[in-house]
Amino acid sequence: MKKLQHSQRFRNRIKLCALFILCAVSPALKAQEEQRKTVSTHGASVVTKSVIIGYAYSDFCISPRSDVKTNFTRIGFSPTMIWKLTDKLFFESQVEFNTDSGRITTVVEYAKLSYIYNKYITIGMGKILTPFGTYTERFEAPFIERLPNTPLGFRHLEDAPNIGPVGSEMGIDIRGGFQVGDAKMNYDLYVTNGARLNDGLHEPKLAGAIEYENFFDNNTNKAIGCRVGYLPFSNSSLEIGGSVNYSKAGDAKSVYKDILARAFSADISYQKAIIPMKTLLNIKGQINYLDVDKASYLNELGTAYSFDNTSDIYYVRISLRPALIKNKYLKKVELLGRYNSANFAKEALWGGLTTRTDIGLAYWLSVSTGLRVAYEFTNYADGTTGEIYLVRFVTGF
Amino acid sequence: MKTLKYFIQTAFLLSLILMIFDSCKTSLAIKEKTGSVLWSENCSRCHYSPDPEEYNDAQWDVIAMHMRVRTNLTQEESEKITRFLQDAN
Repeated sequence: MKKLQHSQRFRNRIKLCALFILCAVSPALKAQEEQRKTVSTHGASVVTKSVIIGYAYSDFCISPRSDVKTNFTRIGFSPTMIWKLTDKLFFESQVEFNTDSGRITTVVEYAKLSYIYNKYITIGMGKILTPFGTYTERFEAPFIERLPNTPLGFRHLEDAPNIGPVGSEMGIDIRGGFQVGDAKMNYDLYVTNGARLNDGLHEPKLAGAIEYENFFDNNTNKAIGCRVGYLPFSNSSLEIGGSVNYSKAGDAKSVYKDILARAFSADISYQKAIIPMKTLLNIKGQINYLDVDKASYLNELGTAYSFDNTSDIYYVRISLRPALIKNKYLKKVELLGRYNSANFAKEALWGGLTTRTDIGLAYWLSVSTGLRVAYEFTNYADGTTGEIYLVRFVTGF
Repeated sequence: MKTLKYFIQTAFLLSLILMIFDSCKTSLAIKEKTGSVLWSENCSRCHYSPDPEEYNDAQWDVIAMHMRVRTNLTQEESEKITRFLQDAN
């Protein structure tokens, strides 16, 4: 009898356990099933409201004056992951993988949590693309940039002076857009770690140069900056913008701790369909100006010297695409021209004027996939010249 | 005479403020712009406008939020463009 009762109790326990496991597992199974049903193309899920977009590209280079005349130089793949957490909150991050001159590089281009406070204000924090001018934030992505190269000085490079922020920084921004009558305005205000002055102790050749990708700040002072954009026409075809950025750049407790870097920028974007020519005209341009307080540095021989530390960079790009004609091949062709100038502080060891002219052609296979070919002619600061032919195959997804 | 001068100055200033406020009013034509018009005008400022069929409704919802913040679109523009893309895909 006792044995029977024990066996009954054991069976009840098993039933209870089974019921418990079923209750615990069934929502998870249901959710998994739902997710499987809703996961569709492009890696998006209706359940989590996330999406992966991005781009990939591959570069080929012909250098007639070099010993190695042809080279497959670079391949890059850059997924951007966006999670919409609520109607007001979302997170986005872009990671770039690329091989540059044989080295594999992985970079978190940006990672930012944004909160839409109201229709005029969005607050974001993290590693942000600095809203200084428009190039870095809007046009740098290779499937958006029509030419296979970046304007001179507008791509962040290690061991090269930055004339204003041209990459991403750690910080916080507040931004938004609104109508002003039939025109529109937009704004960005931000606080970041700011500029870092190269004092030349480790790299005498770069003394006085400014670096903006200052991920672990070298001083307590933070940079403040803003950009204001104005779109005077109701069809949003023209945007003009102005940016400023103020930052103390020297290392804390060093003799350079009070050195101030003042950066200014003006940008323009214009596009128009020229109906008689059945052509789309697109003009982009930006100028950055940087003024750093005068200071004394040591050259490679240990001699002190000083210089007027002001520099500027600019580019103007014009493109024409006969997209409105009937010929299905010609309408995919875009003619491109860009003039670039980088005028670094004359008396600095890294100073001088370099100019570059880019003439190119893009063939669009779809709205975000294309083949780009360009001829790049450079006049270097030391009086020499260089020429390169570039080919890029790029897709945005 | 002094009072009249102040009166004229105040009236001029008030009319100027009224004129500025009036010019800031958005016209009906702009308010009534459709999502498709806003899509073609705004997306092409940076890149060629993507096909609505490229993504599904949920994806457009997420992408629109990203683009609104990245390019400082107004809330009205962003909502209209999203609705258009979701209806047209």
